[in-house]
Amino acid sequence: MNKKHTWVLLAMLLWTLLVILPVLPLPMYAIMTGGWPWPDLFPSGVSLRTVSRIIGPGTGGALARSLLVAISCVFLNALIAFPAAQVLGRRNIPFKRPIEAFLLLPAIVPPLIVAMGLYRNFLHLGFAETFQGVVIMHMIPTLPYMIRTLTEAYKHFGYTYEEQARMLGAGTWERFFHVTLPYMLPALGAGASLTVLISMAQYATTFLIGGGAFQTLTLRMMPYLTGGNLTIGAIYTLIFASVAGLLLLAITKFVNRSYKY
Amino acid sequence: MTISKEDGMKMSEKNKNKLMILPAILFFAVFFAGGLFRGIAESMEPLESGVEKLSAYAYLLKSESFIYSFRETLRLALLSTILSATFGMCLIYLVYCRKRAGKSGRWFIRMIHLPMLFPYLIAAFMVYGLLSRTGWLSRAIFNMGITDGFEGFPDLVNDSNGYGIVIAYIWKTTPFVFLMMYPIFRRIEEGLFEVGSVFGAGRLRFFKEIVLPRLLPVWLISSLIVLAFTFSSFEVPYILGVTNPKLLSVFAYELFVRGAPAERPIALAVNGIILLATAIIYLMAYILVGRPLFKSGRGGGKNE
Repeated sequence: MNKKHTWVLLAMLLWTLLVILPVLPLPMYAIMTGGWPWPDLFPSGVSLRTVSRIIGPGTGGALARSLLVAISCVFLNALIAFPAAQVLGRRNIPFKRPIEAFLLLPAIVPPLIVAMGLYRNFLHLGFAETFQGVVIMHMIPTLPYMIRTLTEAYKHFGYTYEEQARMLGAGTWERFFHVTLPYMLPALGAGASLTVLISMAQYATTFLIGGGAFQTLTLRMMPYLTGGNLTIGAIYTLIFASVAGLLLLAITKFVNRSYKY
Repeated sequence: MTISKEDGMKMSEKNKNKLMILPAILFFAVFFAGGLFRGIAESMEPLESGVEKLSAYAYLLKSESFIYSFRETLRLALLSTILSATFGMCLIYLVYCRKRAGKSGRWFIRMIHLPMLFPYLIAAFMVYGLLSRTGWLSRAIFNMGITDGFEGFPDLVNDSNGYGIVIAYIWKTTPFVFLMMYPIFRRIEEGLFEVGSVFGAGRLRFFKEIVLPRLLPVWLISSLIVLAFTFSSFEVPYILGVTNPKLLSVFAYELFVRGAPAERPIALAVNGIILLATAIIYLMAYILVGRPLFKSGRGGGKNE
């Protein structure tokens, strides 16, 4: 019995190692000095020269654009998903299953394929190479997640709370902001987190619709990732991961602080 | 939680409420379905004037490099799927063993989650940094005295076998397979575990007879989702792939971005074929497990 359990623990440690192994060298690549000859396990010295070269207005602007797109997607997704989810979560409508399937489909169809088709439509509509175009493109693969999480929350929410509020004389908007929205916060947070993660990681769709003129962080870092420039690639990767991580943390903190039920 | 009836609502308000689903439907109809159909329609346009419709598809099916691309894409997607499905099940088994030993294994489950936080493009880059011939793993293995030079380290990220792509996919998709099964594993009643140990069912036997059958439908579905995804996904092969063979998504993208306008129908026809293949995969999922998964309580369907 004991011997059996050692095997289990060993296997767990092995998987843990496999999971963290790719992450470990990144910080070293980011701050290594000029040369890091091959068999050395650790760089001989630390230098922030490349880091300071990369942190500048160009990267800052790209980061700001990434965040602006992601946050716009969160707001617009919520705006569309709330009304849809309250119908899907609590009501019987004709063709409910096919409608639900249609609203989930964009999450499984590769967004790049949609983007290549949309390209000409966007040229006609004047959305090509614009901020609006990129936001619309990023909403396609993210909105289904927002609808999904909010629909589940509405299923549990039902009508009781809202009816109580109505009997106490609360109007439509009062009910929404003081009763419904606080209850929905965890689901909204989950949908927002997924939206942020997916939007910030879009590369090819942003490049196609934004035409390369609209440069997000992902667009800026991609040449170094494909070119195998380990130092610069690692620095951008770390910037990307920490910003995404901070944004997710902020969403979680906000939800935990404001959740009242 | 009880759900009250809709009796209190006025008729007009009820109908108004139902229309609130329209913005979502319209958005996807215009931008998602619109883009998708536009792409498919353009893929059917004749390549040059005078030839018949669908000539882009005919061209692709005759092109040797496309057939090669298609085979390689399918091979790598299948390899990634089989391995991550296997690993996902192994991880469930490990968590199950911990549970039998009375441990929650929460740290381990958190560890399994970790790759979900990194997008695919970053995962691909990290695999490159770890596994390239002069990467960190090759240094570590040399220092342990296993190889005697970086030539001794297999070239995993720059060879046409695509093993780097498979490794990146396994790293990213195994947690997905695990996390699809985990809620159902958790829902197996505590009582069953007790009955099992009272009657002295061995660890493996109990897993095979009680746990596995409950997990199978979700396991199969999540594997097919992984297959459809790895078949069509773009970032990982874009970063880790070689010039030849190009995987299908990269093939389509580069032709679309860099090719002549006249070649666009070909790029879009590649997309059409990717869509058809993924549709077949999802149809398989639906036929194999779709119905029973949602209908019987046993598989732990959504309607519970």
